[in-house]
Amino acid sequence: MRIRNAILALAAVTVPGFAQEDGLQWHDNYKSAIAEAKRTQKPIFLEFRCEP
Amino acid sequence: MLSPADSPRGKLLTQYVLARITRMDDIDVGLFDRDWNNTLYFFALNANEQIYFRYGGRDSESPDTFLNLNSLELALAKGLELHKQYQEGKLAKAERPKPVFPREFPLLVERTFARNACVECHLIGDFINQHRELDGTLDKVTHMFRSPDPRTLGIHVDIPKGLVVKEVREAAKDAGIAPGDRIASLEGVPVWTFADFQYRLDKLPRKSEFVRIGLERAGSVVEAKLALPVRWWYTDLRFRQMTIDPRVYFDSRPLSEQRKRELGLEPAGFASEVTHVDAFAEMVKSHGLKAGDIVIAVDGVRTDPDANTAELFIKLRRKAGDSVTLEVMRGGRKMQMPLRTYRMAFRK
Repeated sequence: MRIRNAILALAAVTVPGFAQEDGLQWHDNYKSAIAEAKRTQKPIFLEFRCEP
Repeated sequence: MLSPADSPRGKLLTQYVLARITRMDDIDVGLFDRDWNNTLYFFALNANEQIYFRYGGRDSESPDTFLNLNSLELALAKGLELHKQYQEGKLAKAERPKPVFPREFPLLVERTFARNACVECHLIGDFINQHRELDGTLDKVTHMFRSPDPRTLGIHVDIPKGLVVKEVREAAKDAGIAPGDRIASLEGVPVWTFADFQYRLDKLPRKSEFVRIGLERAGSVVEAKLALPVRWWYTDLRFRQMTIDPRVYFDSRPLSEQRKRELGLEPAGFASEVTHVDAFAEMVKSHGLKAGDIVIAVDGVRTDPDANTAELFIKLRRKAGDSVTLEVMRGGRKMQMPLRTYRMAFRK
């Protein structure tokens, strides 16, 4: 439980379409993540979780 | 601050486009099929939606039994390696599963979209199974008992090290799997994480007798043919709070063959001893069982090829909400007892 809570507890500052935490930007929309992956040629790391 | 951008894990994450999804409304649940009762689950994939690995897994003890930041880091590094191979045309293209969207399930639409409620992950699994139950395609052994536990096969992995085997017992030991091996494939399909392995295990037909497991051992690859134990698919369902399994509000354990003989019961039967009665049983007048009771039969049935307890028989062969008649032995005396199962409420 501790690890899950730690992962879930990552501090987030929300801006439209993104969450910023630990200096990393997280999309909150799947299609925009795909579009960025196409543009940047990066792979996607996708997290599914219940809302805290 | 678990993954600051300048930490080793952060540096891996910066090489990905990161996305966090909390509502399943427009997600292709065919592509991202998984055990929907995991509260946290990850995929690495590319812009063409080819999945490189999955990451997640839980049991009834804890939602993070199989999660670990070190193994996550290993998986992230592997994902980048696979992506490079994909870009260089060295990774075989996987066939994309048929798209399936949550709005295709009328009950889910009625209970969530129509009420503007959150389409949570577990509701996907719950309502897909409800539809299967309604249209007669539900196979409880497969659909209700998702995510078989590799420990049932005798495989205990070293969680921080991903799929490195830490300890082997029973079937795994008999198959020649050894501590230090790294599980590399299941039925020929490469696996990189615990979640990959568990997902592939889940896809095995439940009547399978053997499974082929590829292992990396001292720089070479070997294959083990593991004889699957009886009920290798069985897991504790209690953490699946709103599933379709009939709730019976008691726990039980199978009787040994010797004990059955002593009591004059069929050795092959599912006679089982009640070990715990949930207080809820009395509150909702589900049944009058007591710890120590032996349940011999359900509606006159005493044996079942898949069930080793009366409790499991009810979960597999009856629908939530059904009433049954138990044959119970208490203090050497046999009695008939009604039991009413309950259906967990979905979205109120």
